Amino acid sequence: MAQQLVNAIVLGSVLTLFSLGLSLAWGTLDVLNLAHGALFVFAGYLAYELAKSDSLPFVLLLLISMAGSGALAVAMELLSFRRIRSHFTVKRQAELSMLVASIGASIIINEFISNQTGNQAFSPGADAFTVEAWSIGSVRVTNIQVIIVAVTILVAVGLELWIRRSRHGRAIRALAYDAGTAELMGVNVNLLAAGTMFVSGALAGLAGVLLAVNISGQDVLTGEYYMLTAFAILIVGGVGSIRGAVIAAYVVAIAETAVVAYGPSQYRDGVAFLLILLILLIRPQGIFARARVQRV
Amino acid sequence: MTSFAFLGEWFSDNESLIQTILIYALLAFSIQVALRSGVFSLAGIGFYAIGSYVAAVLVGDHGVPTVPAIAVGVALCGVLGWLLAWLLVRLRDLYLAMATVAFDLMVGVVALNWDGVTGGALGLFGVPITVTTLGMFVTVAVVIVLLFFMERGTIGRTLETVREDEELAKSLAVDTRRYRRFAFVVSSMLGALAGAFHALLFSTVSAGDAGFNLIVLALTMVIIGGFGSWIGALIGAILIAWLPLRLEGFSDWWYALYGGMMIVVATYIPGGIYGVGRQLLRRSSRLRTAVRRVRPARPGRQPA
Repeated sequence: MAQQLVNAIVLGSVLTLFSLGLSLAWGTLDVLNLAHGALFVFAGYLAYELAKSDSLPFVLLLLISMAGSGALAVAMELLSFRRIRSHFTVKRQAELSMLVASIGASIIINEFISNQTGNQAFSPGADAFTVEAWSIGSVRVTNIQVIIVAVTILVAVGLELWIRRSRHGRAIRALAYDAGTAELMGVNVNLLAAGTMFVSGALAGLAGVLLAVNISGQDVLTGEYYMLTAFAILIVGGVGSIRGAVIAAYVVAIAETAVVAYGPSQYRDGVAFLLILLILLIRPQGIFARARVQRV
Repeated sequence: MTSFAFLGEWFSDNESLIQTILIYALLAFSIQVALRSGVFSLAGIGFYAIGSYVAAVLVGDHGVPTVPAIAVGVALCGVLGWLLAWLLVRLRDLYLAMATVAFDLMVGVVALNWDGVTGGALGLFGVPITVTTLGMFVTVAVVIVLLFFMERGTIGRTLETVREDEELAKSLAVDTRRYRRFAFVVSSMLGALAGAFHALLFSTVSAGDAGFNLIVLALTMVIIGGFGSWIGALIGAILIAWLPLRLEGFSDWWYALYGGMMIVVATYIPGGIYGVGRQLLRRSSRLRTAVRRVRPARPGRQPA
């Protein structure tokens, strides 16, 4: 029981890191970035390659990989999203186009990783980070699990403060509310959008590298699983709500862990989808979101 | 006569390509019909799976003749589509897309675990091959005719208005929910039809057939071809079925090439190939239209 709870908390933490980036991009820029899962795996792949050739300290390895996935997200923004945003006047058309472009990007990234690794699972390996396990009673906890939870708390609190309190955060919220007016108020929308995409990509990268160490092996499919679960989290938590995403991530993690441990384990993936459908039916704006503003 | 013999030879050389195109086309129509009506639904993929299982089980296990089996599958998916549309009536845009993707994947999870009927992870195999290329061709032709009429006249214009400006449509006393539901149901049935053909042509159904990859594939066809018309969906289906054969040398990378195409089309040519073609045609016919305008309208063609 206690062990299951530990597993659920670790899973929930990784899901939180993953969903926060996705939520940030969707909530502020209306980008449902389906390449988020690919960015997540890409960072894990970068860490794996770096660990193979160099003996960098783990922190540096992590930061470089995060910068790598962040840079890819910025590249997507510069090559595609920016143009779509400025050329498409109908919001729905822009959203659809960005979604499609992000699917294209995810295909390219995934194909690259599969070809480079020959479809084998990969992870940074023991040289980069030595996993140590402690036993507390019957519960087994590893150092990477502790790091994951600690980092998640730091990032979630930091992001919430950044969005709520800082000047940049206010600009981002203004951008989410009305990009045109934000621009008139002197917000550099293009720069801010690129910055937001970088943070979003880097968060995916952070989750990716930490997970790769924790489960010691990931491949392209890992990203897909996380992507779909993150959908459920965003829907339950409400798009753009950081607190909602954090709470929903742990709820989904506990539900999935419980189903695997005590229920029909083969229906694990079904949990997320069922949650999505249920929440969308009952409260489409998400449980923690404020009432959705209908803009007509 | 010799040209017919040549045609026959070309046909038998390319039969599997034609079959793939026909199935892809139905799948692409399924997504395109919804998108064109402003319903961002990807539920067609889930109904593709349901349609293929229903057809395979009815024909394979119960010996039902082909046409009724397919008809039952399509009708069932029409009903299920209607129910799903009713459930998801409040959802729009990206939320609807995500909900329908969730539905698709739910179908996959159920298919994987309902061993007794779907064969679980192994799937169903040895399904009798009872559809012919000609039969599929005729069906697709009929579907195209129906889609052609759905894009014209009052219904075509109404669906377009529902997509472009729902508020406007409502103010013109259009029951937008009904039209959206209609598009959703048609989309579901087309998906089911594609699935049934796939099962009865390739003799196997597996739980992995209708997964995330198929969603991506269908969306690729529609976006590259252009979602404005069935013509675009057809162009996309032909292109996506035919390209892998051309690009065999790059087999490791052709999927990445799709990705690149999707980014370019989504960013620069949102109307897809169809949209570009239409623009070119319009430009070339502008002169003729200008000439026609100065002529008096023919008598008898005045609106009553």
